[in-house]
Amino acid sequence: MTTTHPLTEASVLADITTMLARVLDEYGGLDVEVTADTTFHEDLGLESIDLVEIGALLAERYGERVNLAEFLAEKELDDVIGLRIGTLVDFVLAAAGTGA
Amino acid sequence: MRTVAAHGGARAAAATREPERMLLLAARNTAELAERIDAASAGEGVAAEPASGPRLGVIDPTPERLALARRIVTKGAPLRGRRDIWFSPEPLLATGGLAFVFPGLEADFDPRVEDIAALLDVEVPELSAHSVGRHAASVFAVGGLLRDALLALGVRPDAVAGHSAGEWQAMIAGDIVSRSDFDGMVARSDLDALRIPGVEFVVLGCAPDRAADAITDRDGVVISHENSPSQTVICGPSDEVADIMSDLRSAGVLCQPLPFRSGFHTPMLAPYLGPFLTDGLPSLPMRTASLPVWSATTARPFPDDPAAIRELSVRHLLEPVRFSPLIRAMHDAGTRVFVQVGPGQLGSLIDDTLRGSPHLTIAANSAHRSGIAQLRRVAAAVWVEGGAPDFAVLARDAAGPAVHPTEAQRDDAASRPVRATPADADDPLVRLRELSTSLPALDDLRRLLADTADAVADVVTAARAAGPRDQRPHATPRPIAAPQAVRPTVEPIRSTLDVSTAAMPYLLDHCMAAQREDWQDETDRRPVLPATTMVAHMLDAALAAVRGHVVIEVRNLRLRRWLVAAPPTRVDVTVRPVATPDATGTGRIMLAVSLGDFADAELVLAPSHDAVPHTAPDPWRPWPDKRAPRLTARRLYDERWMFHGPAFQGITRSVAIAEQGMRGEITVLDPPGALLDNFGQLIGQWLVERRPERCIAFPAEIASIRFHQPEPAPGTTVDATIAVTDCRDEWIVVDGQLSVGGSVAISVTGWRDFRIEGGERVCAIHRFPQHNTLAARQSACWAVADEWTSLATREFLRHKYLAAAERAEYDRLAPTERRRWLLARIAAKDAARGRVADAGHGPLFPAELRVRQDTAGCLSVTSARGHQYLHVAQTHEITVVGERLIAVIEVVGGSLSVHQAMTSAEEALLDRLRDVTSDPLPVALARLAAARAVTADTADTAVLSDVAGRDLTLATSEREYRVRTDVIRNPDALPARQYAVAVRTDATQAPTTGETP
Repeated sequence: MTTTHPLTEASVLADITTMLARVLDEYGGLDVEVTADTTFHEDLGLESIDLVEIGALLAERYGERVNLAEFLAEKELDDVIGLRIGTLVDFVLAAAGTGA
Repeated sequence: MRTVAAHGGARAAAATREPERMLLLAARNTAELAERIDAASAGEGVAAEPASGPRLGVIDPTPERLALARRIVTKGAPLRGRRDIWFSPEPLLATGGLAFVFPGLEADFDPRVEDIAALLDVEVPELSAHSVGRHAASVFAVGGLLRDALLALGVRPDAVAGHSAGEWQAMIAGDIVSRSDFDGMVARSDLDALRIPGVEFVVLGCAPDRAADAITDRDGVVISHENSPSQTVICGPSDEVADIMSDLRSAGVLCQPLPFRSGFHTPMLAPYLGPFLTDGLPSLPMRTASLPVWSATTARPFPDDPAAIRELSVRHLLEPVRFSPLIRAMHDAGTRVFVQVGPGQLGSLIDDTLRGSPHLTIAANSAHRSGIAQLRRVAAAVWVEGGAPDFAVLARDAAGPAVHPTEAQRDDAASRPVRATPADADDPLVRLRELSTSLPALDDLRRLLADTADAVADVVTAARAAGPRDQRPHATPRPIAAPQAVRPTVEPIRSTLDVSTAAMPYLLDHCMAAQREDWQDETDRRPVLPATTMVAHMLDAALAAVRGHVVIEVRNLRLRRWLVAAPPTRVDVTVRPVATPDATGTGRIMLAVSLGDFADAELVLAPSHDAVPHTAPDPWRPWPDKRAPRLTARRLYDERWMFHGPAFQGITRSVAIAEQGMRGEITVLDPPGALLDNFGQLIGQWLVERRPERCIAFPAEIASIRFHQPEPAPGTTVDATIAVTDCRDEWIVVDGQLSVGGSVAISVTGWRDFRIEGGERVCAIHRFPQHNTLAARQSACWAVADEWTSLATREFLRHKYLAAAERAEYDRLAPTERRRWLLARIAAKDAARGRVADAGHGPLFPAELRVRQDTAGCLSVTSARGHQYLHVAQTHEITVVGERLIAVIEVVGGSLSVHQAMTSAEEALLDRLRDVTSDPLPVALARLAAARAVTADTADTAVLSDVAGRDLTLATSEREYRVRTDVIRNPDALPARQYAVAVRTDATQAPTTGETP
């Protein structure tokens, strides 16, 4: 589904927090406060394979334009491992804004 | 309640370092568990530990974290490791098994092992990820260290498996291959050489079926790893893979290229496997596994039969890693706890595969904390699932004065009294002591054996002590000693052996490179010690060290390098007693003997042959389908099917040959080891007659040689039989019997020869290098294909072709340049020798010619017959030399650019060429392209102006060029490809040959 409301940094962070909680459900749920500076691997304990599910959830929420695969294609391996949630939020805002 | 603190609990309060505390709780049900958390928060002690029921483990049990743990426990759902809390309502190990899973190479490799190495008192492994080979060696070293640590911790696997290269580690953990054999292999072999040029791995964030769709119609791209439902790895040529990535990314599939490019686990690796088969893992001795070792190739446990294991170890490199089906199958078979024996992300693949199924994954190492801190988490997690790890082991992490109460006792252990010698008359140590009163040298041996036995006993005790914790309420301190950490505490007995043709004149009849009779430089003949002569010298050293004994068996003989006698050299011989369970109580002595780094073996000695419990077997019955061998014993040597000179020509009759093996009569000759060398020659004859495609073979290892009676003296007639148990492209394995007067004197088991690559031509060069060539004559050039992949074969050929000065030149080259350099010399020498033979002269041995490269890139070949200039052209597969400017171009179906630029007159000429040669169009175009390449000395493009058979004339506005063309097909061993070669035949260049004045 594609959103009809204008996206803000806060709303996207809230969306992503919900997605992280869903991904982490298997491991006992989300147990830290998610901010822009939270890191994917070190703080949340997620591995690169979990990005597959995050990518699917982002596309489901914002539509195909928000293509995490294309975004990560530009990144070096170390950037992917050290990914911050704030980086994801900026990416969603930029990608979902394109052509809107 | 049990509170375990790394640095000694309450007493550690004064320590400068903050101890990492851990709370472990068990109860009969979750309600009781919640109560115990409350009691723990209140600081009360609770002792009883029920055998079953829920368990909880919390690292750093602060009041806040205990409150969190209580909420988790009350909720009742398991939590396995998140936030350093483990809660298992129904511990998995009550009914399930625990597996070690060894990671392979991952992009991110950041182990933390210094403190673990210190704990185990071993060296910190060297860590590097700079090349695939070094990265792999580091992964193996870390895996081995962690495995030892886990075992010391009392965490023991019920099954083992591995991901990719990690599977080799699993094979070690399951005792299929020995750690020392494996480490030796890694140290010796060049894993970096084993890879396919130009292919890449890409990790795809999708299931294997989606990946399979994406690679359909993509040339040469295959699935290499089925990692999990959300992850698949593909491998293929860089450009194809780039297209796939771009397609998939636009469809939202995550793609990540991997930094290493080996091409493992794909069929594309097959042509490059040669060296790995002869020197790599499949070459190691293999045994039936001691616990289930699972294969990711089949998603089933490895077979029991060593030959089948070996076969699977080869498939492992050529077929995809089916990791996800493997984990699923292990779970189906009852595995519930997966301990990842290394750092990295492998556990996330297991979690992804087993999503929704009860299981625990835990990594034994993590980039995020110290090695011991992570091991503590492993112990906690395993305990929570019902395991019984020995937490006291980790308490050794303590530094400084704040020690665990048992630490002081541990220090005493170092000064504990030497283990008392049991006063048992059957004990060999006691008997040795009695004997030593008359033979003082034996007392030294007794001490060596006693010390070794003591070290072994310590390890066994340590291993046994790690039993269930409940049975050892007061765990006693003990040294942590992993099995490989048993270093001999005794000095070995050393001697030296002078190796030269002066000291061993019989070696002049055992030279690997035939030369002209009056050839001066002995090093060019390459006299080498026969493997069996090395054995004879090892026996001598053993018998000198332990007098009054006989050698009854040689075990696990490994022949690691050629021992060359020219120039003369001196080799250290080391004899070291080893204690083994089966040596006690039998009067037998086991010695580990090594001849430098050339060969090593274990020797079993006994007071006499009569004391041998294994009596000689009955001689084998003749095979029903036997027939007379084609080659008589005389022809075998006269026609040089065996390269041996008279001192080693011991086969006096070729008796019978069959598909299963052959029989011959040997008359024992004088040189040490001659009898068994002659036995080995029977393998050579069997290959010549039954498997001539690779008929040259040399011993690599021998599992066992048993001597049932004293070795037959020179002059004795021995009836020798080889029974072929396994024969493959790369090696042949035989068993054997050597009988005297109808009773078996020597039995041989598992004698493995590696086979040199190359068919008729290599065999011909081996037998009569002066009359044969490796390169083949074409109409205008000589061509040789690079069809020998193994280093052993290249070494073999190098000594046939190069004299000392050229070998020195070769040694100075970068390893990557040597192959092409050598091929150019082979082709040039063969071309020059061909020309000499054409003139009615010769024969010439290749070493009689000297090749030098001039500044223009021409090769100048000099011999006593004169000198010749040759031009050389090379592709990665074909080397060609000709007397004038030469070019070689691969025939490629799709390359029609030459065609597009042709005039209609040229097209007509090309048709005429094809009428004569019956060339398909791409071949004719390749001829023309090659011809253009040798006429490119002007700015004008030369135009095809005449065709006469395969001779082309090309013209520019200024001049005409004549060119002879040939088409060469790759030999069968290489991919089916053709090359067009063009050589100038016009006389406008300077003459390129001449006679010396």
